[in-house]
Amino acid sequence: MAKGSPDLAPSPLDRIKNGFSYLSRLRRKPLGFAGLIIILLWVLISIFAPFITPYGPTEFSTDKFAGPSLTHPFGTDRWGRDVFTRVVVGSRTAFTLALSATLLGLAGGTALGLSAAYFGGWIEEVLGRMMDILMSFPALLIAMFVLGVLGPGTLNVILVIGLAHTPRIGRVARSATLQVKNQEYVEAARVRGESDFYIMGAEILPNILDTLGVEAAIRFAYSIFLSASLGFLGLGVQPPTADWGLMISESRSYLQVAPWLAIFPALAIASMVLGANFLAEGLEEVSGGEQR
Amino acid sequence: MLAYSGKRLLQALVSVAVASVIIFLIAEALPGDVAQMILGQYATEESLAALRENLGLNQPLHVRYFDWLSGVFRGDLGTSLSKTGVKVGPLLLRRARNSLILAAGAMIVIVPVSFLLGIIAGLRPGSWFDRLISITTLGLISFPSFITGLVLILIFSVQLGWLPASSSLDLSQSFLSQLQKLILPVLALSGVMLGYITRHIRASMVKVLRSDYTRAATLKGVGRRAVITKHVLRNALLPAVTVIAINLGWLLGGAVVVEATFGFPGVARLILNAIQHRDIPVMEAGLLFVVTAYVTVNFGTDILYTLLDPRIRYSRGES
Repeated sequence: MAKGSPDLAPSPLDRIKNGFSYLSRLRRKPLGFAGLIIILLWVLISIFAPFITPYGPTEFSTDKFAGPSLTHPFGTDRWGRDVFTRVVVGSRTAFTLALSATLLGLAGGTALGLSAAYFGGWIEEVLGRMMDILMSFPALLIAMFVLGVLGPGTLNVILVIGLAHTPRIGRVARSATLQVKNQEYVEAARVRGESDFYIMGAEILPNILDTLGVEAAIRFAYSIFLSASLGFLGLGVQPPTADWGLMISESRSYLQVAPWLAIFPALAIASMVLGANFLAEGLEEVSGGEQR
Repeated sequence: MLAYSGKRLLQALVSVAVASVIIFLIAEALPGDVAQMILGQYATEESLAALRENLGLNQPLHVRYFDWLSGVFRGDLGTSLSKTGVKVGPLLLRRARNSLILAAGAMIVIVPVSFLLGIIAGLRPGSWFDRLISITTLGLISFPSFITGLVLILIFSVQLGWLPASSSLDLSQSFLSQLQKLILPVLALSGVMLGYITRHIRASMVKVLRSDYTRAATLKGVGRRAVITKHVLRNALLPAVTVIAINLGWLLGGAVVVEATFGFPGVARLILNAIQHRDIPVMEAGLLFVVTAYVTVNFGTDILYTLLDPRIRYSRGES
């Protein structure tokens, strides 16, 4: 629900204040706060990747299948590439894929869900049906098809994951809009003669942002999950790019001799998805999930 | 009730029909020339043209679609392009059977464990057990099944040597030896769903416990045990039926990662390989199978749900 008094839209200043109190309340949720810290750590790691990596991500050496040591903290792979470097640089791949896919799904889903709920009638019916059909298939299966047709690659992975997110975010945006669309400030804007576009963008959208924020965190976690799975299946980012899913896929033949090839990228994926899920849980508690 | 079932059945049939068109169109859109693929890159132009004529590739799109569809109804799914001479029908049946075994195994793990954990956690929200379950299940849904699978392989195959790492199922062998091969894939497949369904059941327990009718029953003087068995459990567990059914479909299609991790000969990996090798007949048949299974499960759930929940039965009967 919207915060503040029910009959007035919150002013921009209120919103900024709300944003801060939001974060400060998150501090009291141990799980959510831990998630925030984990994600922030990964953000720092990927920003400063060139400064903390001792080698290049695709730099070969004669030191093949070396175990973890001081020179190679996470060991080396079959080409003698430094696994630590590839895990660190891989965080950039992960963020690129997951952030773009989440934003894409957020844009598409919000536009569809918001307008479906706002206009109602046959528009809602048709959009709802389309989303139901899209959602009735496992995301991974749809991704497999589409990448089979389009071919693998970074851009296609982003498109496919964004597409898989769209109906799910659409459903959330729709139900959030239904809750606020009959509030008095929306009514007031309509009486003032504002356009539908203005009402949706300036009156409704800001008031469903907290719900969308929780959903974005969940979808971000799922993006990492999906892109890693696609990389693992060989349908995602192609070699020699440093990608966690791809690294684990390549490690499979050497599990006996070089388990570190699988362990470190797996820890990276797990910690990032876990961090995002913790964050989503915390955000949900903070934004009024307690009443539920 | 009957009218509703009829309407729902029609809906299911339409879904499968629409899906079959989409599958066919996707197969058409795949880059690559089938004739070229069969004959190899050194084939002459004449032999290519002859083969295209022979396979009916020169026919218009809708004619080929109905040819394919009538084949499906006659049980003739064609021959594989990548495995020369292999009939698609029997191949698909074998793979589908393996996938069903895997999915059934996962269900046997998931349903009792998630119900038990979800109910106990939901009865005492905020307790240490509830928090433990909350964190554990968040962990479970955060680990993609190939990671769970690799961890299991590292522990039970590489380190301990108790269970095999790859599982090329062979049902002519003894049941026990095959069961051994199934344990790790089943566990890997169960992880995410176990977490997901447990969370669902816990949340719906909490919701029902706080509802007005639970409070009313308590105030009426019904004992806690009776309130829980008669009012709470029944209402809280019903929605779980739908969640489990939705995930059953996921188990068939989404198992691709687990099948790839363990080299398990299931239907999802069959489709993946078919897409990668442009083996169109296998791909079409596999996808159609998954979609049909998915729609069937959803249909069955809706009917079951209506039977279990009188509220829905009446509201749907009236409309």
